[in-house]
Amino acid sequence: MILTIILLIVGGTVAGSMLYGRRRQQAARNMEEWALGGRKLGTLVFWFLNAGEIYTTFAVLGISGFAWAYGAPAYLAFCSVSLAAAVGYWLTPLIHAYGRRHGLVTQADFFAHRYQAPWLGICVAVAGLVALVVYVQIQVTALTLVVRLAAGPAVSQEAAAFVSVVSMLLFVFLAGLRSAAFAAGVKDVLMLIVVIVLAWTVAGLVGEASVLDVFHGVAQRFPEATRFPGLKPALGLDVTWLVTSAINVALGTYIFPHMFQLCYSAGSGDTIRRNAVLQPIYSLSYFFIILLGFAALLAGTAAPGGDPNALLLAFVGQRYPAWVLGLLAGTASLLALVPGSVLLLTCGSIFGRNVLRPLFPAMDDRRELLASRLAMIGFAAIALYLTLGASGSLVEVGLSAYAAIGMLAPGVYCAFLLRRTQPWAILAGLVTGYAILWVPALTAAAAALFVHWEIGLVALLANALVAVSLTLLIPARATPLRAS
Amino acid sequence: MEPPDPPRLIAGPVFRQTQRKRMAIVIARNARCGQAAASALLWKSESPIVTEPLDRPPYPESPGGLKKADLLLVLPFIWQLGFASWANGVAWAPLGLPFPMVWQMAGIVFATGILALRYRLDRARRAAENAA
Repeated sequence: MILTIILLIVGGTVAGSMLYGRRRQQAARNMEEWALGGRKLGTLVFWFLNAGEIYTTFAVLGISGFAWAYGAPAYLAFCSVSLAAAVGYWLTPLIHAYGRRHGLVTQADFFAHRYQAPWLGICVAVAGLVALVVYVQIQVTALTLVVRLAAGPAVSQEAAAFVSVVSMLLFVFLAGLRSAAFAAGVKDVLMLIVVIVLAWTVAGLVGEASVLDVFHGVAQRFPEATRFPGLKPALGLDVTWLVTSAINVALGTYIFPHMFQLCYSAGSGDTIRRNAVLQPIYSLSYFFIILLGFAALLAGTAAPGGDPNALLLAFVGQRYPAWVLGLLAGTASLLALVPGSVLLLTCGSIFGRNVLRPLFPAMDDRRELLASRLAMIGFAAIALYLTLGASGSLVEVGLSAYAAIGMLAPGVYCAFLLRRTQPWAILAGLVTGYAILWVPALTAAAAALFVHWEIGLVALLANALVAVSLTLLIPARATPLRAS
Repeated sequence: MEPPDPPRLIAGPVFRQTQRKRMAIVIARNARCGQAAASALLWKSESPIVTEPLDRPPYPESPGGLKKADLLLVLPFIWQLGFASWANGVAWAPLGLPFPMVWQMAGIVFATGILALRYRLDRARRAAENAA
């Protein structure tokens, strides 16, 4: 029954997407059309697509599990959207206008164009790909949970992860970005239904009179869960962690290449501004996600293998009828498939356009498109490899993706704030930031210096400091020559 | 705001040459666009019409900069992060809900209000500019 419902939901959405996509996508199927949805998404479609980006597995499966395992640190979810929107209100119309004016398609185009340095475009493309693959890993992890749930414990972790990656690739190839907008709409509606059904009934199922009593019960029985540093103080998830993580998320959200690309495809600057106003309200419904995590805590639910990511599915499986679990699992599949496909599409187009083409300028277009599609398979395979090696919570994986993408943030913000920024200053900052993130000795030193800070923000600040001070200290070369 | 820097030449002759070549490709590709319409299958698709910014200006145009109104956008940070430590210490539980959580949720409503205010201000400013 569970499997049937999952297949119905996913199959129905794919079929609907294809019909919708075929109707909308008339003639020219070129790469720009395929990757950007033709630059003409209206407010409604853009909103669904953008909100869909935010309603990821990171938010639903990740945050509920985080609330169950750690308590208060899950409040981070409430900061993630509103603060990103505050930054986005200023930043995204600028990206949109710049991209439109110059016919840019990817984020790496932006760097190459703004800094007039094709080599920086290649570096940024590679850096963006790294962060995107980590982000795809989140989706694969979630989809693996659903596959294991549907197929039973007989299926190994590896096999389930493989099936997940293959279905994600199938989803990408059956539907381009336009159809992802349709699927995102289906997913949002389903998610709403699931959340209402679960939240409506959860209090009774865990023996409390009302939703408010669930929180009251947690405050009575697990008082440390309701405020920072939460249930596991040793992990250092205190207010400092909240503040630094939230800033890092807010600064990084629109730096992700797929979000950047989404800014280009909006109908107008006004569309994105309106979108930024409306988006935070969506995030109030994280209340219900945290409610479910706390209810599971009260109910004494044990997640399989202690894996917080599997908590919500386990809780619903133990306390609800099978059809609810099926509905949740089906929706969770879409939750992973839709962003996963957008992410992989972005990976493919960045790789083709900004890595292959500058390196092999003579390459034939048809071959570039083929190569970028093959590359998507390669990136999916890397995400599969990462998933098998990882054991962290989805929230932790998510924060590491933000840490990786944050390295590109100084380049974007400087582009609009500091005219004379030089491309090599951006590169120097990038190298500094990655060194802090990836050289274990430096990471340890940074963690010792900035206690309980999100390491991504430390790396981002070091990166920005290097980029800005190099730009300000060393005078720009006086070469006012014109190309003509 | 500082005056624009003089145009810089970073793209060398090699880059310009490849760019010319690419422009030729783009022109040829636009001619094939009619054909592209015929190929309905995804796998047979024609690829990019625009591959490279062609209207490359001699120098990047005016950066965004910050306006006074942008200070409004800092307020949600002050509410949600600046007061997070204080909110964490408040024992009062409105409706039985933990105060640090209620504070963050109120922060979302506050942020929406601020963004809506900013949006209205922007619209009024644009209307005034258009009228002028």
